[in-house]
Order: sequence, then C-alpha cells, then structure tokens
Amino acid sequence: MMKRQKTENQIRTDQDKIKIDAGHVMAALLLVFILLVSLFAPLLAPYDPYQLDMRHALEPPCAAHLLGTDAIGRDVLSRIMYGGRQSLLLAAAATGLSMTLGCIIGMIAGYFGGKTDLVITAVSNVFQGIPGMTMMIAIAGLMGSGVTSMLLALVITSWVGFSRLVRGEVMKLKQEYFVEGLKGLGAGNMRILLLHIGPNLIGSILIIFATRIASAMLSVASLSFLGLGLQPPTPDWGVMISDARTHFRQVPMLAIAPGVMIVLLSLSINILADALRDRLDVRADVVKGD
Amino acid sequence: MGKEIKVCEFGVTFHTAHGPVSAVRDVNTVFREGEVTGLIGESGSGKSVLGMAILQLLPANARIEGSCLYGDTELTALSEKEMEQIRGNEIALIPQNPVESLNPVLRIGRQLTEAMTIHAPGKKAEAKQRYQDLMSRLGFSRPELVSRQYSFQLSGGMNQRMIAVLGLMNRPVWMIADEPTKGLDAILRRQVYEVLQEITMRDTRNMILITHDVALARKLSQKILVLYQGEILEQGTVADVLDHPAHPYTRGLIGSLPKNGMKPIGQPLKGREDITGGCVFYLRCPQATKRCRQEHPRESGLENGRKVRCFLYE
Amino acid sequence: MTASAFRPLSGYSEPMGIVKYMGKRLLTLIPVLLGITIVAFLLGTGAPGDPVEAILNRDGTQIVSPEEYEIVKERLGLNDPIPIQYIKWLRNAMTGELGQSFFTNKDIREQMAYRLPYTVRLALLGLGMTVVFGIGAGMVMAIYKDRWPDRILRTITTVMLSVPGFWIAILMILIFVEQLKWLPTSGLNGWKSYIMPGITVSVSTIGVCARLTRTSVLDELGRQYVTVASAKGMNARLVAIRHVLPNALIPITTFLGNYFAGILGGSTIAEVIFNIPGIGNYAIDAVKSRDYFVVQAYVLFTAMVYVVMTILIDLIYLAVNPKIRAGERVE
Repeated sequence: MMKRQKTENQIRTDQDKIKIDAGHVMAALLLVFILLVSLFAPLLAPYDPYQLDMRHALEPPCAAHLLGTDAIGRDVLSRIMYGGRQSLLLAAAATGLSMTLGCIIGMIAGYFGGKTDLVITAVSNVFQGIPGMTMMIAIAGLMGSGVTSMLLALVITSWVGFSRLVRGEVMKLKQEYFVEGLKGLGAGNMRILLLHIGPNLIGSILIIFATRIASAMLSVASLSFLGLGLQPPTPDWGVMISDARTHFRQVPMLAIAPGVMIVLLSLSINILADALRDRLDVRADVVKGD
Repeated sequence: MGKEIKVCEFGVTFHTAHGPVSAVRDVNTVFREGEVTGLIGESGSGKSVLGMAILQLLPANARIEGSCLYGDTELTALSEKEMEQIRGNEIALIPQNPVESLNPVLRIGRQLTEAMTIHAPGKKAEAKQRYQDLMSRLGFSRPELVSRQYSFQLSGGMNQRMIAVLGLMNRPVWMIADEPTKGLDAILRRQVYEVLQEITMRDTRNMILITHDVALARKLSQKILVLYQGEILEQGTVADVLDHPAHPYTRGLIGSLPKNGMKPIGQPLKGREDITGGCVFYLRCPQATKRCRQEHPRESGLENGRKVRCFLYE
Repeated sequence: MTASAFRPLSGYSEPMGIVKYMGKRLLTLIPVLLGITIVAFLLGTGAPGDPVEAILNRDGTQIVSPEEYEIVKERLGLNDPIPIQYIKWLRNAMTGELGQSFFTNKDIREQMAYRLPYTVRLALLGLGMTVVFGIGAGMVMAIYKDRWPDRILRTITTVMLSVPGFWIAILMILIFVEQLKWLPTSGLNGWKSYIMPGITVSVSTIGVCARLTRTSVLDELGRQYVTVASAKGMNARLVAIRHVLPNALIPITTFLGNYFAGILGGSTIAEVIFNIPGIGNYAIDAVKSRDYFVVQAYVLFTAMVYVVMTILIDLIYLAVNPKIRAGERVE
C-alpha cells in the first residue's frame, strides 16, 4: 500500500470531531430513555401486557389506550413498554458471549500464530461462508424456537467478527517493541496478552460490541417475525409485528409502533457507535454479516 | 503578447478549526518570460503553497488573496472552468512525489494521453505520438512497453521522468516544477537536473522551480526568490542572491550548505520570545534589533532589481 | 541522457498474476466448502428430536411398533456411525441426490431446482441495488462533504442500517399497496413486483455500502494523484469518476461478499413476506415441521450460492486492482 499523507483537509476534520454533537447527545438521551422505560415497564405500563379484552379488540388510539389495542384487545402501549426487555437482554447477552468467545479465540490465534492460527482461521472462514441469517434460521428452526437456541444462533454467527479484529490487532501489536521488552523482563504470555495487549484493543472492541448489539436486536426481531424466535404471547416488538401481519392493513399502528421502537433503539446505538469511532479515530470498517 | 506571471499583494490563508493560518503573505514579484525562477526555502516556508496557488490547486479550506496576473489575465478572477483551460495547457505542473502523483490503477499511457485529450478531445493518436517522442527524449528506450505499465511497476527514477513527460504533453507556456529532487539520491538528483535542463533548452524557458535544493536552483535559475515562513525575504539574480546574500536568513541558508561548512542557521536565540507583528526571522536572526521585534519590515529595493525585506537595507 | 534505473520489465506478466491469485483463492476455498458441508450436515443430524419418530408419528397420536421404527431408521441410514452418514450424505449431495422431504415426500432436488432461481434473482437484484445506490450515494456524500447533500444522505444511510428489512417491507406495503395502490403485494409478475422485495433485501446493505464508499472516496480525494489530475486541467467531476472511483472501488469490492451474504440471508424474509417461492420460503416451512433434509439442503445451497458469488467478486476485484493482476504483494 501507498503511504497515506494527511492533507490539511483531513487534519481539519479530525479536529472538528472533538466538538460535542447535538445529534450524539440526542441519541444518548433516546437510548437512556428506552432503556429506562424497558427497565421500569412493570411500574410504568398502564395495563398488564398479557391481559386480553376481546370486547375492546382493535381499538384505535384513545384516552384509555394511547396506542390502541391489538387483535385480542391487549393494550399496545403497555406491550411496547415491555417489548424491548427480552430481545435487548438476549441481544446483549449474546453479544457479550460472542465478544468473550471471539476475543479469546482471536487472541490465541493472533498471539500464537502458526498452526493454531491456521486452524482457527479455517474454522472462522467456514462460518463466514454461511450467511448469518441462514445459519440462524437453521439453528433456531432445528433446535426449536426458544431463548437457548437463539442465543446459540447469535453467538455462532457473530463471534467471528470479534476474533478477526482481535487476531489482526494482536498480530500487529506483537511486532511492537514493548512486547519484546516485556518478554525480556520475563513476562508470561497470559500476562502480556491480558495486561498489555488487551487495553490497546478496548476501543475497537467496544465499537464492534455496540454495532453488534444493534444488529443482534435486528436479528432477534427478524427471527421472531419469522416465528422462529420469541414466541407469542410474549410482549416483544418483533413478535408484535409478526402478530400484526393479519391486521396491519386495517390498523397500521399495530405494525408501525413496535417497528419505530426497533428503529429508534438500533439507530441510537449506531449513532453512538459512530461517535465513538470518530472519537477514537478507529478505522473499524463497517462490516455487516447478517 | 507577454505572458509573464505577475503576483501582487499575494497571499494564501488556510481556515482551520484553530482559526486562520496564513501560509503565504505579501508576495510581490514577477516571473519573467525566458527565465527560470528558483523559489527556495526550507520545508514549511510556503514555497509549494505559492506554486500551487498560482494554479489554484489548494485544499478547499484555502483562501487566496491579492492578484495573480498571467499576461493580461487575472487568474484569481477566473471561473473554475476557465482555470481548467489554463492548467496543463498554459501553465503545467511537474508535481512532487512522482509515485503518488500517478494514479495507481490506470495505465501510464492513459494518464499521459488524457493530459492532452481533455484539452483537445479526439487527439488520441497525436497524444500517443507526443508522449512517445517525449519519452524517448527523456531516455526511455521502450516507450511503447512502458506506457502499458502501472506506476507501481516503474522505478522511482522512471516515475520521475514520467511526470515530466506528463507536464510537457500540451507544450505549455509555463512550467512549475515542485520539489523535483525531494527525497532523491545523488544519482537521481543528477538525472532530474538533466531532465529539467533538457526542458529549459528545448521546451520552455519559462519555469518556476520550487526547491529546497540550493545547488539545483543555482544551476538552473536566473532569478532567485527566498521564502521564509510565507514571506519573500530576498529576491534578485542568482549571482546577487546566492553569491552575495544580503538578508541575514539568506546568508544563513547559504552558509548551511555542505560546501560552505554546513554551519546551521541558529535555533531561536536566547531572550527572544515569540512575537507577532515583527520580522518573521526575528527569533533566529543574529542581527536583530529592537525594531525588528515591533515593526514588520517592508521590501527595500537595491541595485539590479534586487529586493530585501530587512531593516538593514532601508 | 541516462537510460539507467530501468527495473527489469520482463519478469512481469499479467496472466501469471491472475492465475496465481485465483489459484490461491480457489485452494483456500476447498476447506471452506468442506467445512460448510460438515456444518450443514451436523445442523440436520445434530438437532434434537427424532426424525424417525417424526416421519412415523406426524400427529403424535400413532403408536409406532419397534419393527416399523427399525425399518425406517435403516432406510434413512441412521444406524451408521455419524462419519459414515456424513460421507454417504456428501456423496449423495454431490450427485445432486438430496433425498426426499419427510413430510411432502417431494424430491428435494426438484424443489431446489425450481426455487433456487427465485432466490438467486432476488439476491442479485439486491446486490445490484446495493452497488448502484450505495456507491452512488457514497460518491455524492464524499464530493459534497459537510455540505447539505452529505448531511442529509448521512442521516438517511444511518437510518437505513438501523431498520429491519421486514418492517420496511410492511411499511412499503402500507404505503405503495394499500394507500397508493401502485405495486402488487405478492407474487412475481413483471418488474414491478420486484421493487419491494429488492428494497427489503438491500436496505441495510445500501446504507453500509454508502458509508464505506464515502470514507474510501474521501481517503482517495486527499491523494496527490487527484491534485495532479486537476493540474492537467480536468474538471472535478471527471476527476472523481475517472481517477478517484476506480481507486475507491478496491476496498469496496472486498466487502461486496459480505454484502451479498447479508442480502442472501435477508432474502428469506422477503420471500416469506412477498410470497416468493424461493428456497428461503421453502426452508421456513421445513423448519417449522423439522424437515431436516430440506434444512440441510437449504444451508448447503445458500452457502454454495454465496461461495460461487465470492469467486465472481474475486474476479471483479482482479479487474479493479491492477496490483494483484501484476502479481504484486498487497497488504
């Protein structure tokens, strides 16, 4: 590759990034708001999200039901408030697990290199060779829908993103002089990996972590929509949209409201991830496998 | 019609996040026809910015002030479209960093042809003939073969000559050579010198040679401009400026040449603090007075059209 | 004049560079392909539940005699050890023998042959839209950096990658079918019926691709060759198209494979919503009834399409990157 020179133009934009952006603040507030509502849904929700009331089915928005009711008379607003809890938790747990797994595998591959690396790279190539959504449909479908199978599906499809990054970075850092120096001082492999190489990676990992949570949210919603994820009557945005398929032409709110929530949540996460990327000036390329 | 380049009250300011940064200011000079003008100075002195400002090829955050007359045409008043007619056609550039100046994914021949066809569409065959002639003149024994290569397949020296070919494609009236010897070893420097000499003898004598290489400037130029921190501190004929430097900075610059014992120009002297408004060389000037600190010196005219920006010559 | 400093040109040959590169790429694909077949196979056999039981006792009310059970199990080859089962399955799969669906008893190969074109067509449409709109929007953003077209498109593209495809599909149905009555809601009759599925599969990748294009074009715009092209007297738009784009395409091409994977996975959702008889739709039906053979075939076929596409994208990469054609080492 050619040497890249920073032109005056680029230097200028680097400095621009340090300013606090109103959009970023809005995104942060939005995210906190959604998280708080989800967390305190039991206190905030006007109705029990499972409570059916056939007499008031498919009601338009009114004073009693601000967002109306669904096909079996459940309060849409209450279900919206509860609707992020499960999928968010699932996405966070799955991404956390993928991150742990991916980091460990990536560090091993990058640090030890050689045959270990070859095998790990081959395995991750195989997983990259199957589109994420296909894999998730197959796993979630065959293992039966449920939290465990979705967790497994999400982890299997997203650990590679982390391990690739960590492997690459570790290989780069391994060449640096300070690692040589540490070895000279008698530091063990584990110590070097965790205490010295690890901290250098936190920024990039955090960015991937954030974008992955957002995309895991979308995956959970997609699976739930296909009937392979969270199951009715769970109050969940994806499930709600799936439920709405029979009635959304008459009552568009049933599909629109939960969709807006999904978009707002993942949008706020993506905006914050971007802000972080700019701040850290990390060239984490936008990769999306599923 | 005279096609000299005359700049008046000329300056360039970059608008950065930290406020405006003046890269070149208060430049008054004439680049005469039939003359090679050497623009010398350390890196960061603004000499390349000045050259690129004439062609108006600066980053978007740069603002040009003052006037730049090309013959009777005021270049700073031209539209971008009119300026495109000047570039490459009337005033051409031999850019610095040859390897990075050529597009890595396009074949050399195409980039050369293009230099002509954007001004004269349909003249593909002529363009090919032209670059093959130029290439053989500049020492390529197999122009046909080389033109099918990509820049990364050529050596540094070949790329260096290639960008000279590029600049010459349209038989420009003026040539601006930007740091042609930057980062080159002695052998390549000699080669560049030969190429430039060839150009001044056979293609155009109207050249602005931007360089930190005083020896090269001496060999090729008739006139010298000495730039320091965006200002011309001294200008005059080669013999005057380089053999009898007047300005303390020029003296320091000449004294720092290898053949003159490589005496470094002084670092900021003790007791001198950073100032605004005074002489730009105040910090490092061995002959500075109190006045240099407070007042900004103007150019004083000496014999032979020589001008020096220093109170010593008022 | 000196004619020295000639680097020998004879050692260079473009066809050799291409052959070397493609050879290496194809070689690395073999283990990937083998791995994919193993995963596809294990996904079928490793799943909980008993296929024999599933076949004999569809509604869960019949009493299955042990003899019957054994016969079916033997017929399915489930008495063999797992590796033997895999090899048999692989051999069959390679000859196109994918078995029969447990439930519909239809030949899977025939079904796949009928359905695959729908999925491939939809995925290619999605990729095409990603390339056209993604790169187009990215170029506009880069050229108008920090001005209003950039700001607006940047917001739009960020939203695009935060929107689930299925929801966009529903919104489009609400707007274009219900309200405006412009488009047909399902089936595949004429080009109009491809519009909504196409957008559904490509909405997020267009966003990602546009952002990547913006970054990579901006990177290139700062390069010296851009200034030099302008110094020839070329106008800015021509410089962007002739000089900058070909360079910016190199990093973009490396991500096309990823995009295609996303699009291919997403096509399942579009197929379900818009009633397109592709392999994704087939798989969803199969998954609900635990039809293992069909799911195996689905994973295998999707992966194969993806791998073939990766090879084609590599060829595009070769076309846009002369360094590889010339056999240079590229980081």
